[in-house]
Amino acid sequence: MAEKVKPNFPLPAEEILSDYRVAYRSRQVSIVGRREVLSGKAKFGIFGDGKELPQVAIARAFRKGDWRSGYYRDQTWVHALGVLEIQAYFAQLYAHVNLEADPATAGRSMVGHFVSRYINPDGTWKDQTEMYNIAADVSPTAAQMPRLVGLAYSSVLYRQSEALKHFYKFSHNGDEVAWATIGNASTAEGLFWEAVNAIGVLHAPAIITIFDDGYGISVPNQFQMVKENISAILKGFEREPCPAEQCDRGYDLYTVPAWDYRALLATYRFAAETAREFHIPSLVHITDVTQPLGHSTSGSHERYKTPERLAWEIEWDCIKKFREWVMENGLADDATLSQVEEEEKQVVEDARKCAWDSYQSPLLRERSETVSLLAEMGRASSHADGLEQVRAQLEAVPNPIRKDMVTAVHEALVLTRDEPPVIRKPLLDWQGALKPLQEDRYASFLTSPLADSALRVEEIKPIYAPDAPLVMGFEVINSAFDAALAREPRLVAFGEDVGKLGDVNQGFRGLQEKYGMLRVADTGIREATILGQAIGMAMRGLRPICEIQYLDYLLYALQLMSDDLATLLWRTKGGQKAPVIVRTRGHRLEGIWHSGSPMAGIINLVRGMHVLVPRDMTRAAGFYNTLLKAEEPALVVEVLNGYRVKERMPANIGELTVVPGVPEVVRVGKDATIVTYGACVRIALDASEKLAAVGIDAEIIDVQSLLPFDIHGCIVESLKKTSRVLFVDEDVPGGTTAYMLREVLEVQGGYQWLDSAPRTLSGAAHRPAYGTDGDYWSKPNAEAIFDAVYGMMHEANPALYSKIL
Amino acid sequence: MATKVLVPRLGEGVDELTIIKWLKNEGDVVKEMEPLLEVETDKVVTEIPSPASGTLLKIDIPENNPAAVGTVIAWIGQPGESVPVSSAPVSSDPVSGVPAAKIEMQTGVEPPTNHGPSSVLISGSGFLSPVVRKIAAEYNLDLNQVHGTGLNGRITKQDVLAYLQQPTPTQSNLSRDTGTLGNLIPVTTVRRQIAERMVASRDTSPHVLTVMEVDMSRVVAHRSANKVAFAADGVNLTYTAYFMAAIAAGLKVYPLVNSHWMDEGILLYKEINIGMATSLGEDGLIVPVLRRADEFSLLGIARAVNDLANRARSKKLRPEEVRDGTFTLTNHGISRSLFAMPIINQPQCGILGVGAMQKRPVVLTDADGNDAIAIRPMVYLSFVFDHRILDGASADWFLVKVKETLEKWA
Repeated sequence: MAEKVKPNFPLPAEEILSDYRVAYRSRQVSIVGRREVLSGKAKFGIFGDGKELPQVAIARAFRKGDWRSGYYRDQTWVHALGVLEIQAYFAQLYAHVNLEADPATAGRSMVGHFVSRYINPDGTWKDQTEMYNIAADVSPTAAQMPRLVGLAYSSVLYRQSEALKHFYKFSHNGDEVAWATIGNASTAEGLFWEAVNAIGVLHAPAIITIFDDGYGISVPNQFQMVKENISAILKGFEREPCPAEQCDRGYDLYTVPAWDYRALLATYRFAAETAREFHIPSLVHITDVTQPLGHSTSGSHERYKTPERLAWEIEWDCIKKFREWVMENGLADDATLSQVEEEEKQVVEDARKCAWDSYQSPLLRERSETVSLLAEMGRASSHADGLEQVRAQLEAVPNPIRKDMVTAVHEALVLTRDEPPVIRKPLLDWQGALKPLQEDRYASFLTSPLADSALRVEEIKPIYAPDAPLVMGFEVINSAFDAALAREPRLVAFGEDVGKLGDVNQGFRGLQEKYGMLRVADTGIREATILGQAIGMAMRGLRPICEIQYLDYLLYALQLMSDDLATLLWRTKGGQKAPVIVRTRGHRLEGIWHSGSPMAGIINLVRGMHVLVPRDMTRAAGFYNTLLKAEEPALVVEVLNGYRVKERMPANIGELTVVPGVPEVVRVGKDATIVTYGACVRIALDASEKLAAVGIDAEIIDVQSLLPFDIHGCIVESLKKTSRVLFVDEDVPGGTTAYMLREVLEVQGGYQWLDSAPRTLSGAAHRPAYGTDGDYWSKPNAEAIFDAVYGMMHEANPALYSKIL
Repeated sequence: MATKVLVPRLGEGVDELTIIKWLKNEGDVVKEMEPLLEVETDKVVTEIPSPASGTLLKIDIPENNPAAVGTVIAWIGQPGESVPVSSAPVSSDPVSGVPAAKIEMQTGVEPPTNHGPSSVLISGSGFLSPVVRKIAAEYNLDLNQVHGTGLNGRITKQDVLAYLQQPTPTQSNLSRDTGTLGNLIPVTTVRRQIAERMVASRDTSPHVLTVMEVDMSRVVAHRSANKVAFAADGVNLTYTAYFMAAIAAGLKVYPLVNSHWMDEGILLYKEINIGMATSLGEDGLIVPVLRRADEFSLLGIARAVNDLANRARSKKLRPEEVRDGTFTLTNHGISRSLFAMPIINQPQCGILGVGAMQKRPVVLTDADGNDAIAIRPMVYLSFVFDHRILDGASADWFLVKVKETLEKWA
């Protein structure tokens, strides 16, 4: 609590004055930024006004090697660390799509999304102990919390695991503290509580700051939390009073007003030392926070705050209070401070102007080139009037963007569609040259184009000894994990029942005993932070395999997979990565919540990840081995009813690899191609026997990997032969079967090879019902596959395949 | 915007026709529904009415040229209106061409059907799968030449590949010397279609032949007695009328013979519509249909048979007069054949061939069991039936009924 802090933190006067400068500068940035948006030069602004002083204090306690997982109001903190230039901040505000201008996101994120680029351009890791580390910001409320679990817990692993001692680039004895900030209203989110609990359980060094300005946009605390006081309800997380070195689990709690500079400095210094030395986490509740400019450029707080509240906010503005404190303590007089303020205004204005000019100049140059091309075209064309109009319109746009130019060029090309190529060529060339540039600006780095890509891992086929034993599937995967844990010290596996039990299907049986509690660990029932834990750990150089017990439970973690993990590489344009391996099992067991295969829901939300669907445990082992050689995030869905199916044990279980995006033809045939994956492969094989009995020779392709999908066009090659295709899976109608159909017919150009209407066969629209018959009528079965293929053959050759049903 | 004149689909399986005569010249004014041109298919010659009122601006395909269904053959519009230049006739998509032809041409031609009059099943689609189109484009194939074996006669990839593997060159319209093999002569569309249909029929139905001979004494006597009276009514009483009547009587008693094999079952036709194969000499064969043959008297049958045969020879049959047959009669005896094995006219169950009538010595046995040799006018009836529907015995029952009807004619 605040009274614990001794407010006698000594800083030299010039340091304090420097803090005033930083705080004042940051406020100016907010004011100017808002003005830029409201005058139409940028699309949206959200700023850190009112939170400057606590952030100045955090920056004082934040060390190299530490991690920030904050949110979009942290500009003061990041700027105070010296890792955010004001000009870069404005560049991001304007959406300047250039990595030099906006080194955080290259114009891909809106303002306030901070990034430390811990990945070199060649995909290798920088020395994180020499950096102020910033996990790339995410906007969804409380989404910064789950990964904080892993960022903080990594310090525990680096300190306690002998095997990790020599990974100097990532940690120095686990001394790194993970810092989070969150708004008061976001603490009403489940993710916040889940993360707070998990960090407490893991005894991990995190400092969580809650900025409490009394509102969540317009909704006051009365509607956000019990007692309207977050620290009061966090009380139960507080550790028992004891010496830090003997402390069991729990947090230190602090409550500090946003305007109290001395208390802030002291609190953060003390909290940081405690976390660093003893791995004891803290919750810091910053009260009396104001929001001088309102929530964002999308609104005005005068609409929902009372005049009294607004007057109070002016009075208790942290910068105003800081200024008064500086003067009261004789650190500077009014004239000096006014001088500082004038200088800082100029600094901000200069930075803004540089950012704007640098953003505008390529656009103005490109616009003038486009205008010349249009004028030139107008002189040669019979549509001179129309082209002149297009040209004049483009020239009149005050702040041109590339969309204006492309629209004008498009219009001109439509106008001149009947004219000779010589007239149109310059504009077509212009259009053609722009395309790869825009691809690079907006589409690059969805997955890794570099050497760390899983697609670059070479395939190593399983090798079987002549006397290879036939074992249960779970024994195959168990051997693979054993080998992986033995060769990769950074590999850490965890999840519900993964540790002592060795997972509910025995994949990790005996491995905790062999590799210790830190390497193979149990977690609480908390899927979102199991994933978050893995994200934070992967950011810090570890190789987590996090387990979501059943595919159906992935929905808890899906938001984070989608918002954070899958977008990380893309939204930083290659500046950060988190090679998380999410392990789960799915497709078939029993009932609504244990047999789902909602693959379309997943693949449509996690573009940027690999989604792998091995049909058996040997293939699954191959994928894990591949992923551990690469550094990309992936989801592996094992076949739930495959653990007790016998497989031959490969001699090279620790080495064999399966490459994502490469299907396998599991049955060669000539009459129709059945495309499927996972548990349905065995069912399709059953069906193919029935089909063979009536003279139909089906080819079965196991796609193995949904993201990426058949990158070499294996399926279209099959289609060239059979001209008939059926897509089968257990997803809903129009789900992943439709996705595969599009890939094959549209992307691979399979359409032209079709001789029969393409078909999909999926599970039912409803959830799988309980019981064997419930499963049979909810999921595709051998009879349904037989009928679908037979129906195609009947249509093509009714004389040979008479109607039977 | 000028109106396109498109080639309509005149019946199931008719993918191409020949323009015989333009009834209007370019520049002539034509009224909507006024006859615009005459076309010929393998089965009919018919007039095509104008789809719009206006001036015939341009004829894309001149007389005596073939045109595929859906092809633009002319343009009607206002004088001076421009029409697209077409150096070569471009066939439009046959699938979309069908409804277009139907709407724009307003020919009154009913939607094509490949079943009998009571059929409610889906008619054949002209759908060409992407890969079939692709192969056809690559090899520059005329798909009208390819026999479709898919459901409803769809041309499948396998059909096209089988066609390509045929040794006979079919793409050339010129007779050419093939060296020691001999001289290759081109075939007409009609010849080719006959060839394809014959093969298709043999591929579809297991053909079985059964033959009986008929003593025609009573028919001959009846004809001699009534010929003059019929002539007074303007009717030429032919033996064909007797055979038609006898077949109708047989079908009435054995409806299973008046049927059509389908995957769902055997479709028994409600009506007895007997087609009579009529030779057109070098132009092949046409089969006009006598509808509801069982409802006619001998006079009615004779009159109708005369009329159909005459108009068949003068190519004046209407499209509906060559459709919907449920059984076929063919008189191969005209060319002195005694018995034959005709090919079933799909999708019917059977076809009855009538051989040449000959006076032959036959052994007659009277009621007391005494044998005698007599000279009688005899005819062989060759009945070919679809073994999927009929077995030998049931087929013979029908044939016996026909035989007895003729032998006991009164």
